[in-house]
Amino acid sequence: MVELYNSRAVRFAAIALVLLLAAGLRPPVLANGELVLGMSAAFTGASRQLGSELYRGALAYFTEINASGGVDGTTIRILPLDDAYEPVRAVHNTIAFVEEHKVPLLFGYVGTPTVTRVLPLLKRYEERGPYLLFPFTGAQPHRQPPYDAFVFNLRTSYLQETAGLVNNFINVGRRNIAIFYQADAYGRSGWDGVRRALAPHGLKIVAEATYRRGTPYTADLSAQVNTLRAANPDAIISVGAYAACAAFIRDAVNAGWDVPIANVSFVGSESMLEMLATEERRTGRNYTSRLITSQVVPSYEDQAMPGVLEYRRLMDKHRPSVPEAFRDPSMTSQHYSFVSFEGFLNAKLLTEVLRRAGGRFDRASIRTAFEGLRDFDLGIEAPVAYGSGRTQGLDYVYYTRVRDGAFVPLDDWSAWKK
Amino acid sequence: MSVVKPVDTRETPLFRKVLIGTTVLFAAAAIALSIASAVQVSRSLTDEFRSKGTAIASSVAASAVELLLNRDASTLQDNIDQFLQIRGVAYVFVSDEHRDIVTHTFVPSIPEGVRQVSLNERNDVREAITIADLEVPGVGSYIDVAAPILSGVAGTVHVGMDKAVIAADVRRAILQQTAILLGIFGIGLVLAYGFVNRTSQPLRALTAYVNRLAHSDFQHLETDAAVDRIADGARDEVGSLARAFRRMAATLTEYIDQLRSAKDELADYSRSLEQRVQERTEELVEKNRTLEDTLGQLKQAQEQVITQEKLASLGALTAGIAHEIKNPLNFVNNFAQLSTELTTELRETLEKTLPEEQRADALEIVEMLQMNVQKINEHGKRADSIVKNMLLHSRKSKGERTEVDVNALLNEYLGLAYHGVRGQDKSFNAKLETHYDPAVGSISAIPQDLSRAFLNILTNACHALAEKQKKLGDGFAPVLEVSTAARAHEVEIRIRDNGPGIPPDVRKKIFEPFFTTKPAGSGTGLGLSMTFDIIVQAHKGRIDVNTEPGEYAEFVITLPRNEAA
Repeated sequence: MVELYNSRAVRFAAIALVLLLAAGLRPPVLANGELVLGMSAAFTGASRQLGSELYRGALAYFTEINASGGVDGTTIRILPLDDAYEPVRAVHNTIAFVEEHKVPLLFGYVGTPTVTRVLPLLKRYEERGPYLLFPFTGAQPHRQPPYDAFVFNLRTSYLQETAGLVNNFINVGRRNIAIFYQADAYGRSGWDGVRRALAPHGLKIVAEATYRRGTPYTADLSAQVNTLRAANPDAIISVGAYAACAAFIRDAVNAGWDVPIANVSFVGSESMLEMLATEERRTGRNYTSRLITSQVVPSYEDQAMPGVLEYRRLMDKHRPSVPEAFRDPSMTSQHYSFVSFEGFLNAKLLTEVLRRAGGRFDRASIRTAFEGLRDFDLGIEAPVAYGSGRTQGLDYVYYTRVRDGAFVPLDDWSAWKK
Repeated sequence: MSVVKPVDTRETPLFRKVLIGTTVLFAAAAIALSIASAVQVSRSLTDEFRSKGTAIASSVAASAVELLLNRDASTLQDNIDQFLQIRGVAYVFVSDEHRDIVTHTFVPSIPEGVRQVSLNERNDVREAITIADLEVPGVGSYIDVAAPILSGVAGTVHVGMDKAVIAADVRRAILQQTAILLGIFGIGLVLAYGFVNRTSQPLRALTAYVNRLAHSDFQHLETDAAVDRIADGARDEVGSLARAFRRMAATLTEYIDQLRSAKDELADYSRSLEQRVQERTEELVEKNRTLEDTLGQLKQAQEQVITQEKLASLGALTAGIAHEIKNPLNFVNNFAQLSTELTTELRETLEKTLPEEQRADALEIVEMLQMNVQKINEHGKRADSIVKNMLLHSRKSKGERTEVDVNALLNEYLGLAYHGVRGQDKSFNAKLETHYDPAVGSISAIPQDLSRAFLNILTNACHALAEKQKKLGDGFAPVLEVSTAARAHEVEIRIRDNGPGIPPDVRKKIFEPFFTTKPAGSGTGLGLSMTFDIIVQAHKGRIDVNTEPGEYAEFVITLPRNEAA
């Protein structure tokens, strides 16, 4: 019995060893012509819609590409792992992607605290490791040395978003600006952006309030509202995720405060709007009239743009859904959203890069492909440009406001004059 | 008999004293240890928190230099966020060279007290790490560790260690200690209980033993296992005490056993005396009864003898008289016979000789004379018959003894008697029931006499039934029962009729000669008398009569089986 067990254990160990060796020897591109992208994002928890939407948008485009034979015969598959917007889990997922799945590229990570924590890992895996492409965060760490060597961004940075918001507020005479932010690297990144934008005007942040990452919509944020209101600011810049931001707006309006509140692109606009719309139906109050959101992609309602048309067409055509494992019947899937549009554009740009790399996925080929992109048109009337040390493709900030329950472009700020 | 009071073995003064002493000791120890450990834990935790805070502050200060200079707020925030995972760390914040807080971990906002700490920082303390207690009203109390970044040129790192954690740890330590002490106390109690029990158990056992002794419960004295265990097991004073008690008990038991056996003997003696008296009394009563019975039997026998003598003398008298009367009666009869013939001759003569006119008167007289003579003759014959009977009665039987089948004889004479009576009275009818015991068999008897006796009784019975039938008519069903039974040395014959029975006054005289209930001329009154003589005198048997007037009459004849003639 013991002998049998032992011999079986030895055989298992031998098989495992062979498999491990085979896996180690496996080339980055899978033998069956499939390119796997590692995506660690929030698919559960208070920010689950960010990961889900980003995934759906990318999936719509990749499905279309794969249907037409892929990129030079290579199909693209996203391997999603859930980190629930928790840095430690993002780190574990990344290790798994590199060590276990041996993915050639990391793609579509969500969040500043998660990505910030992953960055040292990328440096650790410098030799054989993958690039992180188009993380869904506008924070600085991966846009500047030393980690800009491992990341290519598409979206505009928080510094640019917050600077845009601050400058527009100052232009309409709103100089006393307070900030509501997530107590982590993401919030700090937005806070830093606001602070830096105010400095040239000789201004400082008049008040600040924070919330803990993962705060649900049901939480009471009136303490934060009261803290900021005590300083009587002209405007509030909110740097957070949709659940807490919606709760903050809800509590501010409920307290009878009509200060303009501006959110940055990461917030998950549609998810926030959905929560506020539900609240509006419940109480009859208007929660969205003083709401501004900065975006890093144009409105998906602007159907003059070929990129928007393509996005809408492919979303309609493929109706992408979140991975089976993370599906939750209580979660309403948005038809179109800024986040999924961003995911879509990410996928489209990656496809172009892969095409230019000519089927080679080593670091040098990828970098070369990126650096060759100059004034590339994604169909959104904003040229994508890399090269000359640039690791960020776009620099545009789009401002939106809510009208009739939908986001519309905000072009004229004069209505917000103090 | 005597009840031993239950001895309380649960709690003893000894145990209570030990319990109280232990409790007091442990309480004092617990309080002292709690205070000591509270002080100790508080002190060491405070020290630990100070050094922890210092380490964190130094670490952040070192890594913050470059981040601050690079203006990378995001990474700096991520850096300090990680320290919040460490136990006891309440906050971390970094202020820049302008004393502006550029990174912090406060939610929902930086407390005013903390902001003041940062603003009031003196330049001279920026050179070294400073540790201060920080009370923030409404938020908490902290150990604030401040470390300068780049000798204070770039800013300061503050790490707040939460005193509430220290307090909680102290509380937990005290609670743990108390729990451990309580546990030890519990174990101590159990051990103390066991020890006290082991010490006092023999004493209690001895006490109980002596108590039983005091209550004279001698049954248990020699079989007390507990005391035996102590006496045989313990080599100490308690053991010798137990052994002394046992010896004393043994002596006592011996004395008491002697007393008890003496008492038992006495009781036995008195009990047997009583019994003997009673036995004697019973014997006397028995003898008395036997005597009475014997006397009764004697009296009965005497009566029987008297009756027999009476009857015998009466019979002898009768025989004598009969004999004496017989000769004159013969003369009377003979001459009466002769006279009858003579009157017939006289008549013939007179018819021939006398004239017509005288003849009628003379013949009439002769006629009367003849009738008279005939009457004399007739009654003389009857007298002769009586005398003959009387002589027959008195005469010693001449019959020979022979083996007689009782059942056959009885049955034969039953038929004779019944048909004899029916011959006289055609209307008579009776049911005959016979129960002959075959075991009766034959006895030695004089068949002629015995048959006569049977016939007499059976005929009487038939007459009685006929009489009752006449009186009551068809409503009456006459039954004549005849049965025999074999007894040990006897044969019993029962003849029973459901006729009118025998009245008591008749019953007494029934066996007397010449006593008869029949109309004059139809019975001699000698039948039953003769029967009595045959059964009792000739066959040494008995004859008894049971009767209920109006219901039945039963004659029971008992004959001895072996009659030595």
